[in-house]
Amino acid sequence: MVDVTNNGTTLFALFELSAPVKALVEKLQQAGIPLERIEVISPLPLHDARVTSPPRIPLYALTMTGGFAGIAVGLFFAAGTALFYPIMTGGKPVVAPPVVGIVSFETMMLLAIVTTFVAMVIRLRRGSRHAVVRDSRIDDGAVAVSVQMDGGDTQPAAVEALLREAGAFEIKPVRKDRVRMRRDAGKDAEQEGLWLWLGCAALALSSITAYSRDMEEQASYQSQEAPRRHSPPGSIPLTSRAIVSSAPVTPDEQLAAGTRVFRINCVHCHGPEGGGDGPVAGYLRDYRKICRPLMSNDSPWPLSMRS
Amino acid sequence: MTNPAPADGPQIPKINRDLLEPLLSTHWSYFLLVGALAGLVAAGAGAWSYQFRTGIGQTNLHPPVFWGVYIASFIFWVGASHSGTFISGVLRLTKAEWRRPVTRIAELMTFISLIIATLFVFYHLGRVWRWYYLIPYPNQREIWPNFRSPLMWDAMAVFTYATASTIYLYLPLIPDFALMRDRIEDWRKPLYRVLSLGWQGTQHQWQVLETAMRIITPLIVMVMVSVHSIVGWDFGVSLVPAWHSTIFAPYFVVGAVHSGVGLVVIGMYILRKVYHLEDYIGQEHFDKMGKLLLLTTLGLAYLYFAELLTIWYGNIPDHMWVVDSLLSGPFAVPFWFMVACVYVIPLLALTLPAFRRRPLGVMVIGVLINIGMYIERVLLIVPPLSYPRLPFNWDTYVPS
Repeated sequence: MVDVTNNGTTLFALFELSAPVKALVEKLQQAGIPLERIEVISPLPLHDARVTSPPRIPLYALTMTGGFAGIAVGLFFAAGTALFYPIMTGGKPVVAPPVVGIVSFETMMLLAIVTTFVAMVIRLRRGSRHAVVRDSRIDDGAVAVSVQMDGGDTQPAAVEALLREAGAFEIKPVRKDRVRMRRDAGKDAEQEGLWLWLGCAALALSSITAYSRDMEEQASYQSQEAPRRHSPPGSIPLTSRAIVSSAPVTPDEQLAAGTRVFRINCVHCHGPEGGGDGPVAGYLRDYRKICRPLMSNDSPWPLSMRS
Repeated sequence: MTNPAPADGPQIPKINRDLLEPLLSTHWSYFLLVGALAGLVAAGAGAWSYQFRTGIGQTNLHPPVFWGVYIASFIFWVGASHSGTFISGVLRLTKAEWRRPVTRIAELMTFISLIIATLFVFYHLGRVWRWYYLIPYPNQREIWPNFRSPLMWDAMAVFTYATASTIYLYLPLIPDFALMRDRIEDWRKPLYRVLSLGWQGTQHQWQVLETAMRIITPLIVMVMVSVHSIVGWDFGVSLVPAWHSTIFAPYFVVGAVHSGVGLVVIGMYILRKVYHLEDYIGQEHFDKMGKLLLLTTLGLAYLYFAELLTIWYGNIPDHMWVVDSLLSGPFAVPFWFMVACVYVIPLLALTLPAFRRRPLGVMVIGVLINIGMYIERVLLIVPPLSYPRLPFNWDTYVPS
C-alpha cells in the first residue's frame, strides 16, 4: 500500500502499452478528477484514446494566418517594391502577375510552415511544464498515467484502486516538491538553450564581418595596371616572333585549332559545314560571292570540320 | 531498464538498444572516415580559395557557356534533396506504412543535399562576397533585387525549401532527442536537452506534434514541386534553343525524384551494412524502392522522349544542332551512356522481381541512376549553351 495521505501528492502509475488507458481516464473523470490533472505519457502516440482536451487555438488557424501574412509579404516584395522603382526590365510589365504569384507562393509557404513550427514549439514547451517525472521504462514500451490530487473531495485510495484495476504494474507517489524540482531543471535547460542560440548568433555575426563591404576593397586591375595578366597561349608578342606557348603541331591539333577559329569567326555565314548556310548568311547582300568558295567541291574546308 | 519489459512490447527495448548503439560506441574506422572526409573538405576549400584569388575563369567557364558543372551540381543536389520530401512526404500522405524505416534516411538526405546545393550556388558566384545583394533590405547601395528574374525566384524557393525541410527533419526527431537526453550521459546531454524541447511524451505533446506534422507534410510536398519547377523555369523561360520548352518544370521534378530515390537506396544499403540494421531495413523495403524507381524511370523516360520528339519533329535548325550534338555529335558518348544508366539498365533490371529483392543490386542501380542523372544535368546545361545560334566550343575544368 502506497502512502498517499499527503493531499498535495501526485500518483504516478506505469502500465503496459496495451492497457485500457482510455477507459481508465474516463473512470478517473467520473471519480471527480478534472482532465487537466491527468497526464498520460507514452512512447508512441495513443490514437485510440483521446485523453486530452483540444487546444483552444488550433494549429490550423495559425498556419492559415501565417500563410496569409506570407502572401502579403510576397505581394509587397514582388509587386509593391516594383512600383517603388517602376523600371521596365526584360520587356515585362512593372508588376508581372505570374511573378507575383510565384514569389507570393514561396513566401506564403515559408511563413505558413515557420508559423506552424513556432506555434508547435511554444505549445510543446507549455505542455511540458505540467509534466511530472520521466521514467526510462516509458521509452521501453510502458505507458505512464499521473494523477495530480490537490485535496478536494478526491480519494487517493479510490484513485489507486482504479489504477490497480486497470493493470498498473507499479504505482508510486511523487511529492509536489519533486515536481517543482523538475520544473527548475526545465528552467536550466532553457538557459542553456539561450546560451547555445546566443553562441550561434555570435558566430554567424562574426562570419558576416569577414565580408568586405565596398567595391573599392575588392581586388581589381585597370587595363594598364600591374600586375598584368600574361597573354593567352598562341599570341605573338610585338617585340619578337616567339609564340607565347607552343603552337599546335600535329595535323589533328592543327585541324582542331582551325576548327575552333572557324567556329568563332566564320561559321555564322559559312555554316557549320561550309555550305554557306550559316544563320547570318541570309542577311548579306553579296551572299553568293562570299559563300561560293566554301560551297564548291574543291573547298579547302573539309567536311570533318563539323566534328 | 532492469525492470521486466511489458509483455506486448518486448521488441521496443531491443529497438532502442540497437538504434542507440552507434551513438554510444565508436569504431576506429569512424575516425578514419572523418579524417578522409576532412581531407576532402580541405582540398575543396583550397580549390575554392584558389578560385577566389584567380577568378571563376579558372573553371573554364567562358562565353558562351556561363553555366557549367557548378550549376549542374546545384540542380543535381536540389534534385537529390527531393528524395526525403518525396519518400517521407508523399508516402506519408498516401499512408504507405512500409516507408517508416526509410523516412529518416530520406529526410536527412534532403537536408544534406540542400546544404550541398546551396554551397554550389556560392561556388558559382563570381564575386561570392557580394551574395548578400540577393537579400532584399533597404541599403545605402540603393540596389534592390529584381523579382522578375527567375534567379531571384530560385533564391527564394531554395531558401523556403531549406527552412521547411530542416523543420520537417527536426519534428519527428524531437521524441528521439528526448530518448537520447535520457539515455546518454556525456557532453552531448545538454545538446539533446535543448533539442528535445522539454519533450515528455504526454498525450498533449503527441497531439501537438502530430498535428504539426499533418499540416506541414502537404505544404512541404507543394514546396518541393515548386522548387524544382522554378529551377526548371530558370531554363524554360530563357530563349536558348532546347531550353525554351514548357516541359522543363515537370521534367525537372520527376528527374529529381528519380535521382533522389536512387540516392536513398544507396543510403539505405550503406546504413544497413555498416550498422547491421538488417532487422529494420529488410528486403521488402528494397523491393518497394525498386518499384518506385521503376515508376520514376518510366515517367522520366516518357517526359524526355516527349521533349526530344517535339524538338526533332519541329526541326528548327537552332534546336536541331543541340539535339544532333547529343545523338551523334560531340556529346554522343556521354549522352548514350546516360541513357543506358538512367533508363535502359534500370528498366531491364528492376522489372525482374527477383532482382528487386537483392539489396546490392538495387543499390548498384541507384548508383548508376545518380551517375546518369548527373551527366544528364551537365548535358542539359552545356550543349544548349554551346550552340547559341552561333556555334562555339567549350571544355570542362575540374579543380583539384
